[in-house]
Amino acid sequence: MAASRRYWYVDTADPEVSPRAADAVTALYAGHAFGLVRLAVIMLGDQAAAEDVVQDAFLGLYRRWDSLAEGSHPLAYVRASVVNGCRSALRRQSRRGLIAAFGQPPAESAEARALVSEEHRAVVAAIRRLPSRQREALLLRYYLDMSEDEVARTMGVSRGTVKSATSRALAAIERILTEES
Amino acid sequence: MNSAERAVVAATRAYGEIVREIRPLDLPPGQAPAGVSGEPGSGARGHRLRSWLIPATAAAAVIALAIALVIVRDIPNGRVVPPPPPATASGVPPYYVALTVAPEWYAYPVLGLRDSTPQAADLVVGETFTGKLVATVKPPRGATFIGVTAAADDRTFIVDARPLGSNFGSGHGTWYLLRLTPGGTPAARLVRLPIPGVPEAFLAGGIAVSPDGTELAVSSLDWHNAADGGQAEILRIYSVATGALLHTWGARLTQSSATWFSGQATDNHTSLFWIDGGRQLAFDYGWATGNGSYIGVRVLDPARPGHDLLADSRLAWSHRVYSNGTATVFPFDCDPRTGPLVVADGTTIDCAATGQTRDPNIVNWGNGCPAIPPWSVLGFLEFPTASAAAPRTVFKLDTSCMTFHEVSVFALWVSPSGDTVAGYMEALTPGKPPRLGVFTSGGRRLLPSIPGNGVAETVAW
Repeated sequence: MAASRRYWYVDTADPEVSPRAADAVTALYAGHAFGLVRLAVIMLGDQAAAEDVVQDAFLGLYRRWDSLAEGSHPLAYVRASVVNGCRSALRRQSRRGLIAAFGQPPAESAEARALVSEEHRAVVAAIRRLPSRQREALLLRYYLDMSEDEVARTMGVSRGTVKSATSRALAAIERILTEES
Repeated sequence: MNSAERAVVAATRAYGEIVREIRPLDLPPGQAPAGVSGEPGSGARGHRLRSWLIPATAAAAVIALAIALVIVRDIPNGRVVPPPPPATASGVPPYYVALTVAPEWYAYPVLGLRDSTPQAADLVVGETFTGKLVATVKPPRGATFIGVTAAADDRTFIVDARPLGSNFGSGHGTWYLLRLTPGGTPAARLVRLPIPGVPEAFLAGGIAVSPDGTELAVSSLDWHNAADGGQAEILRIYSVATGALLHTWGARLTQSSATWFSGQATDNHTSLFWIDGGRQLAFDYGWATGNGSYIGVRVLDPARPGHDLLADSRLAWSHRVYSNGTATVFPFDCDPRTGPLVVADGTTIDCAATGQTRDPNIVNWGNGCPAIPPWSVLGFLEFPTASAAAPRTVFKLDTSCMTFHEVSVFALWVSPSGDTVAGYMEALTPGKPPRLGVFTSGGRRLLPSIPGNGVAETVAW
């Protein structure tokens, strides 16, 4: 018998940080945080939680700046951390009962109800009902417009897994929308 | 781009537009910015250490590979698994095989993205109760291990290896037999099998070698086989000795409202189980309706004719999860994010379970300790499949006042009687990798960390 699991945790170590890391991380934040918060909002449905996830990701990058391998890509690290952080946040939300794992998306914010059409909100609600791997692959591929290889590296899975997860996600969304209509 | 893809792009971009402003980055005080040319790793004292550790590790890996890897072209027919050894007192097998994870989230940047090459996963063979490293097996050059399944003897494992690097996504996998000889030289031996590899583009949703080691069941998503271009879930059984395809079943994902098979809904790699002495196959299966989500187990008799995965199998067990979405308290129940585990005779199903409340007057997530305990419990439940009797609690832990960053529970192995579970209850110690544990009604026993970085993607006993 075998089974597998994916795991993550927050390293609370307090490494020495190069002073110039602050400027570099701040510059990276200025260039990419907005898009990452939007990605996290789509996943979580809650801007405050989304901003927390993105802040944590950049803070994690900052703390680990000096221990990153030379030639590594800070943006790739942050993207992976945001995806990972959203998954953790969804688990916490689920544990707090804010959502059920599959069936019940979080309540729409007032902004979403006011600014986003019902049709688009239905698609996003369907995305939130997807299993985590499918949801992440779909959003990285189609919202951040990343290549399959980039998505694979961000999620730490193979390209084949990305292709199949994305394909499943699209099929599931079609089914959900068809059933609900 | 098809209509579904266009809908996703349009909807997500429209939804993202609701974010108009975000707060500035709040870095910890006391760090004086200096210059903008900082590069990752430029101040790492440990980097020089790693720079010589890397070739040393590589050299050790080559030696380990030379010791462990034996390619055999012809596998003799017949039974490959000797009689099982005596079980330990708890019933947990004394040896396991784990895949080291790569790349994982926090290891990812440390391992680096040089040349955009994904990191290969090793096989780690360890002693369950002592934590002693029995063997480390590197994948063949240009490949990575992605899955492992165990026969009943605790000495025979089958491993799925896939191409790594430039061929990623276009090649086929390769199957290997891993034999353990604890105390022998080598302690682990890898033998290439003649079983056709799963195309890399397909996702192997589950793998399970039969208890006697003669047959390998593989489930995968295969969208190319469907005549109309749709998706199909395919379950295949191969002869381990000859590689012959013995039986195939398929199911169109659009045939019913069923939305996942064999652990695809979760991050589980393997959710296939040989039961009834290897005479039947069980696989997990889930579906969602407007009324809620369900997890279940279907059972298939490979000896019977037929090729329809749904029509030729029966639903042996199902369970509605999180059915009361309006309640403020969710009872201690199966967590649908981890697949159920089926005991070898099929009479019992164990699941990882969680319980919580969402009453904001109770939950104080900020400091991890509620005003009115308990609000969070983790554990494992055991269900009989033959009746609708209430589940029995194998183990339950109140985590209400624990300090943690992430809490989840995973069941990875269950004893034949269903009363002992091995798995993770993770991150009970903040900042440290979760440890495997053995859980019974009498308590839990934490196991030594997995050798290496302490992290395993897949564990097989």
